[in-house]
Amino acid sequence: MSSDLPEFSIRVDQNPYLPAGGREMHAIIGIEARGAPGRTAGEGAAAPEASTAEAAEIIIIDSSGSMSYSGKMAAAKRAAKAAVNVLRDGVHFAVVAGANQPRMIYPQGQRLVRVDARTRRAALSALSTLDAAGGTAIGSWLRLAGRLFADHSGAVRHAILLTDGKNQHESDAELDAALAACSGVFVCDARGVGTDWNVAELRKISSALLGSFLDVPDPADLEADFREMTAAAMGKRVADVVLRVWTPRDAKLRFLKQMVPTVEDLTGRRSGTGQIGDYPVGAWGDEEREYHLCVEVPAGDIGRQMRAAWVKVIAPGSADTAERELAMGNVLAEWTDDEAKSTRINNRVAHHTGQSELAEAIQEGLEARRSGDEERATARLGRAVALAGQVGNAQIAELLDRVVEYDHETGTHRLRKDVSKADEMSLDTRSVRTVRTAQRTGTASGAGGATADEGHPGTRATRPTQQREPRDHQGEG
Amino acid sequence: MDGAGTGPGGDAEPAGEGIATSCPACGEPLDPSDRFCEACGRSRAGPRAVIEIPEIRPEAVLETSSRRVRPAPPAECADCGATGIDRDGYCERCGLRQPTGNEHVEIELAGPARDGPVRAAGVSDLGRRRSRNEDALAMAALPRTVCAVVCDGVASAPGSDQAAQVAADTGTVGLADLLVAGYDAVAATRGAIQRAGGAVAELSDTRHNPPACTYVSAVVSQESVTVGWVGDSRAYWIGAPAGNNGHGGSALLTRDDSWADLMIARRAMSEEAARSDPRAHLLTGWLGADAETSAPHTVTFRPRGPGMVVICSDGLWNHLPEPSELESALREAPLAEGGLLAAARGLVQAALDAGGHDNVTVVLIPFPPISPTSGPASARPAEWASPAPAPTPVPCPPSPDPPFPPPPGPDGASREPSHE
Repeated sequence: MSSDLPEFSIRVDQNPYLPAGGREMHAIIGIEARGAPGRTAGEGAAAPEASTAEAAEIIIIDSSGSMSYSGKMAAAKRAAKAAVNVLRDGVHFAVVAGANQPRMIYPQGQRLVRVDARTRRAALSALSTLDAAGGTAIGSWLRLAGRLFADHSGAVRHAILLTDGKNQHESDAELDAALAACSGVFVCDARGVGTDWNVAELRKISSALLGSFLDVPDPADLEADFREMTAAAMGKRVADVVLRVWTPRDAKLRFLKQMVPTVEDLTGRRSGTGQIGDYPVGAWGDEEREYHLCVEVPAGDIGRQMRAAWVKVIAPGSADTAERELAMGNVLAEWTDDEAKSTRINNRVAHHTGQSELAEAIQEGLEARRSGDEERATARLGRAVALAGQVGNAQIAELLDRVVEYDHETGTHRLRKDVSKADEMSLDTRSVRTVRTAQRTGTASGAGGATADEGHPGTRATRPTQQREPRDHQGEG
Repeated sequence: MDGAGTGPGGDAEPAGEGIATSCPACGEPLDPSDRFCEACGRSRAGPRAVIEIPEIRPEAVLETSSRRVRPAPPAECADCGATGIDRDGYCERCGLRQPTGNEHVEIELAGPARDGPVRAAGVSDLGRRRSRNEDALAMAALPRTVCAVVCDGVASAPGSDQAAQVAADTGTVGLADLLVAGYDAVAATRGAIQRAGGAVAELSDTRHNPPACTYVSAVVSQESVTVGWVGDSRAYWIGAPAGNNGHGGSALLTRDDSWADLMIARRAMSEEAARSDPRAHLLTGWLGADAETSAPHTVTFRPRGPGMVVICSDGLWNHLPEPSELESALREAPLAEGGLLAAARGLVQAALDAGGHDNVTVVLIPFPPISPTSGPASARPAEWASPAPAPTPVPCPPSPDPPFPPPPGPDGASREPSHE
């Protein structure tokens, strides 16, 4: 690796102005990684441009007895084969079957092997013999993966976990201990197939291991999903990236949340003490993510300008290379007595604040619904409908519509009666999936004001958005 | 710090002009312990720099003018006293942004006689509403020619204050360089803009909203005045008063690269409608990595009498857009007592009095410029505010319509004896 590092850039969106006595500063940190110079980035669903970074991939397939129903095992095998076919030559890999204990499907010994024509063929053939029997002990599967990755610490380490059931054959404590042991060792994307698995459990796993998780109600959809997931993993160029956040003395970092592509609270992941904290953000290919940072700073005098946070993207060092700063951005604070400035709310901060609240409202609403608290469920999910509209998250609005309905007589929302398990799980799972900007028209400009004339792309605003003020020559405000 | 035989670059003027006892913006008396004005909130921002740049070698301009406006970062945080101040000027402990020292800058370009009149004077001020001065100015003298540049950083792009300073410095050095090399004023003006644009583009490799600035330059020789610009910083010609009654002829020499001027040029809107549109101030031209490469605008003319060249940022002309307004303001300025610098201060003060929404920067260059052969101090030209006998009343603005856009390429331009 190393020469293949993507080019990182940071963009900070904030209103840096605080009123007298103001202490809370919010900012949206947008981080973009683009292919190394001389490469062209892959687009959308197409496979990303092949990375040349050293990579290791483990595919973990649930082989518990329940997998034999509804064609799940057959679909899982097809999906695993599809994933094996997407692996780049030269990548180290293994296929593991999970039941009460994990079992090596390929290779036979507890190690990873390099992908070439022979090993690929052998893995595909080994997958054909996979049978479903036994229970589910996900922690033990992850621990095996952790051991297999141990010899590949310089590589981009990624696992795919597929399960169809609850983690019944080990205790919560065992799973938690396994997650603690594997955290930072590899990134894991988790998939739940069917409707018998536990959303909170998979959320916990993928969150601890910095991966995505998704429901796949129909086994037939697994294959495409695995192919896409593996291709994305193959596109990663740098592993173990860290966000390093400096805050001023006597300031407090209130929270740091990933907001795009999904809501993920990183606040508790901090390592380091004092003014500098490191937050792990996993492996990066060509992609963009956004983070919501909130810092509480000591109140300053009117006119005082300060750096409220300094955010850096850090690539880890290795035995022979030092860690590198890949990008940095400033979050500023300035106290003003001009209320027009201090009361302005940054559009992106507002957007992401709404999406955080949306995810919470859905999860709380569904939790209340499960526990029979219909009143609270109705209130929270009704709130979620309003928020989904407000932030323009059409996908979540559609999923919500399958769980709550609008009662035109009373003008309120009510819970639908016959909600399918799959729809409920889908809403729960996808509650953390965000949209970068509102998915509707007519919201892009508005409050903040466009910074350039749409009809004349070759123009440039001469004033910072935050500093505009109504005046004779500039009527906007 | 010292070099090139210049004055105490970057140092504070001693007594009186040192630590201000009253707010430079609003005049409110300041307590010695105040860091910010109680009345208007403006940072006291340390002493203002009044620097004299005598005749210098072109290669020394960059060093001199940069050092003046960007003194070395303070060793200790102005607030918490910590010693770690990073390159961006933030305290590594408490995060305070340290004063940059360019909140109020005054520069005089010294004349050939030590106590004689100066060749040019410029003032740049934070204004009343901004927290940073993102305007910049630089000037240089050849034996018989004065060069000056004013730039205005695009405040919506981070790093634009640096862009403005780099453009002003590079442009001024470029002008001096090219004139010495024998290029005529128009070719030198174009070349200097090109160099300045290149220097700004190199500041950042970000593709999103890179640092950017406007640019206006003036080359004032014994025979001619040449201005060049990109963006909405302006140049004016203010003719010396003709006799007791009248105007010496004043004109705006530049046409803004702005949305309003584009609409007016296309006859898409009336001037009044275009100027009052919220988009009026959007730039259609600027220096920066994302700037379109187009021939910069230049205008050159031979005044038929003495006068004054004024180059300024929009912080000044927003308040005094008409040449006649500028002329009146200059005439009210105490030119006779305080000289050019006082006149420049007077113009900046007029903008501050009118609201001072933006950074304000102005440079005044008399025509013809003071040169070693222009005689003793008493014979200073452009004594246009004095009751001295007026020169022949020759209104001498350039051709009323500056070429817009200008003819491409410097090749066809006539070569004039530009650097004698």
